[in-house]
Amino acid sequence: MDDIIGFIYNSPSSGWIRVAGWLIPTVQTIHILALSMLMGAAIMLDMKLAGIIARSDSNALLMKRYLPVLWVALAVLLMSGTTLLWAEPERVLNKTIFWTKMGLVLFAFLLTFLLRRRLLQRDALGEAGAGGFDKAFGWIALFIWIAAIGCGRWIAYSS
Amino acid sequence: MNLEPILTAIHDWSVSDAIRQSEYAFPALESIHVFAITTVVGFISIVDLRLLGVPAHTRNVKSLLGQLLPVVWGAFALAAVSGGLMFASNATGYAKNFDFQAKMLLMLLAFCNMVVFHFMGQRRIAEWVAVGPTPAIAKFSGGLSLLLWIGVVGFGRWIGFTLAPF
Repeated sequence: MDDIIGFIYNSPSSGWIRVAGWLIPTVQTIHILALSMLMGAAIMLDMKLAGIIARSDSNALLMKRYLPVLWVALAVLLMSGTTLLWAEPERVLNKTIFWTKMGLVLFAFLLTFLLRRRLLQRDALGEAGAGGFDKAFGWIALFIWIAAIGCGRWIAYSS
Repeated sequence: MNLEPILTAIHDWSVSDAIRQSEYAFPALESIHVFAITTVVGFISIVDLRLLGVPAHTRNVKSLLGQLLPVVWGAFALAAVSGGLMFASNATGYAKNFDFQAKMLLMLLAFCNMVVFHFMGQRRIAEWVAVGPTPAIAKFSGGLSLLLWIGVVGFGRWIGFTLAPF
């Protein structure tokens, strides 16, 4: 791992990001804004599944509106996150909390993907509501995204 | 008005001291703050984008506001409490910090924008809800709100680079 960290740290692009002092806070801001998109989309879907909002609309309609936002947000998070990692690899790669965060992100992503498949299948069968499993998947995914946010903030504090 | 005695009193408050002494309190407050603010900004942008003409799941702006605003206010309260406690831990430092001042100013402007929209645009909401496209004032208000909240997030993040926690 130290070899990888050294390789990234010594690359010209990594040095360039660090030298431009404004770049890291700017990329972090983009990271938080993308996180807002993800949270907005994820909570909207969960509220729909729970029957709090849009009761007369289909699950498919809500998914069509908000899931693409979630995927785009995730792509922006990965790109901005990679930029931050590239600038300061020693700050993240050696930390358990960072790998915990990545594990949580992957888990929440898989749950959301599975939920999408289940809901589309339901929609194809003409079932309007959401099953207990679907709701559970949605809320667990949301809870895991939130846990990932906490881990992300903690990267700055763990040694 | 001299704010110094008030700021010092907040700084000396036992809760502020407890946050300073604890290893975990500040990062925990930050995590809650990030969760709360991303929820606020995520939901407000759904409304703002709808006002700008980007479709939400419902065309009806009034019903969209009714569905989203309770979550916005709940998350905003959480952001205000967690942010307030972080402020208390270093009240005099934050008060002097440019990025913090700018963030507060932008939030004040976002609030004013919301009040103006409420009285000038939303009052006639019933008229344009049925028509579909939003009037210019709604577009302006939505666009301004979006920019202001992006600024709030930006200045908020910048505080972390210009002010040591305590």
